[in-house]
Amino acid sequence: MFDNLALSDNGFLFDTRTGSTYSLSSTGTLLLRSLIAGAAPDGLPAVLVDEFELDGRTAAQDVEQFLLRLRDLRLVASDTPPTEAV
Amino acid sequence: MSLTIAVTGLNATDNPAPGVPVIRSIRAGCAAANTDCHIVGLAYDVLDPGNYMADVADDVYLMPFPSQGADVLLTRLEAICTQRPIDVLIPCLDSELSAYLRIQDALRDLGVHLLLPDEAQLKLRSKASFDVLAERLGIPVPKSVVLTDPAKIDTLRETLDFPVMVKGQFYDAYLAHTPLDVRMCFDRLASKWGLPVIVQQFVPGTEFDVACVGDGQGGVMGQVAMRKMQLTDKGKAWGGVTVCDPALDAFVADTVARLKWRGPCEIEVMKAHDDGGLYLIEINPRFPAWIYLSVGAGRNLPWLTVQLALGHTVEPLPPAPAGVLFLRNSVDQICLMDDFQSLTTTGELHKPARPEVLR
Repeated sequence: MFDNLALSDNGFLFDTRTGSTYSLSSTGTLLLRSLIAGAAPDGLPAVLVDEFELDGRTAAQDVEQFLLRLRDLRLVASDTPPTEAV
Repeated sequence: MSLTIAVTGLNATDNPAPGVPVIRSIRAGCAAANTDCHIVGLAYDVLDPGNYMADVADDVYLMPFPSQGADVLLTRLEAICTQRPIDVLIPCLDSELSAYLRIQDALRDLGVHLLLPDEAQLKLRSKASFDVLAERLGIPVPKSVVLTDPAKIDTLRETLDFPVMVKGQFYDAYLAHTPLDVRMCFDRLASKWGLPVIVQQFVPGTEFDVACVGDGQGGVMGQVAMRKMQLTDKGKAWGGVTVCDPALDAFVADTVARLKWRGPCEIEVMKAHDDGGLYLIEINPRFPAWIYLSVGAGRNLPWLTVQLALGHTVEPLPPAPAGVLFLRNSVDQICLMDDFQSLTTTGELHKPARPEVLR
């Protein structure tokens, strides 16, 4: 699903299908790397909670916004399910 | 092994012809194959910068303009071949292809090999025939109207939604939002490139350009897909990056197969923003000016063309990998008055032989 995305350690993202490039924050890099590694979208808030000691609701909202942005940029399929705020 | 390869289109301004990058690619191919090559540049203008660039053409000859006809062109090439027999000739300009097609048999008798489409293929890919492409070959193209009479501009709204692209038959394209815009573009394009002028439905989306070489049997021998990263004010690529999209590769393969294209071409494809559909917006019947990117991407298409023109058996190259960038630069080049004088007065420029180690 993400085989067209080349993400470097410093957050530089290259979409091999479109030629578009992006710079991700360290948080975005962590989330996208998790998705590329096979994490389900609804498992992403837990990744943020573990890494940054956030509360679950904030983490879920951040992940939802991040996924919406990815969908706007057509970096993930529009049918990727959004996470539920908890 | 030694080869003499002639290449046209040595203009290298901010709207460059493909000749110089084609020659650079061939030199790279010769070096990799340990083949000695002699490059003959065929120029239309004394001031074409490629005439004077170091390590580009070994000899340069001024050529008659295509409008002077195929016979004049053949006479000039016969004269050149008496001095320097040419093994392969790669025409790089749209406007000269018809003339080269007419004389290619005579050139073959001279030992000059070309890799060109036939007249029917060339006509079919012309912008004026795009509706035929859609109807006869089933290739998705934007709706278009062929204009030879400006009086029909006022009826365009019956067929097309604005904005539209207004294109010259050989080069140049402008976005037009109103019939008045179309009228202005029509006059500009008709005076520069002649009639017809083509008005094409504008498809909002992302453009991808694919350089490729067809084998004439429906197969693609090599292809490099690129997305422009920066443009000149004429919309020409000043920087770009290779992309790898299986859907785009399949679209190009399908288009080449339906056309049974033979030789180099550049296929311009628009990926629509709304539904992601791919539309063919143009086929240029020669290499693009960014073709040196194919060397960077490990798919040296001009060198492949030389081998195919010579009748060598070569395996098709896989699509180029993504992520190879090119950025064009501009350089002030110092030229010798003696060279300029030679080309101006004799129509020829012969540069000193380069040391073998530099070849």
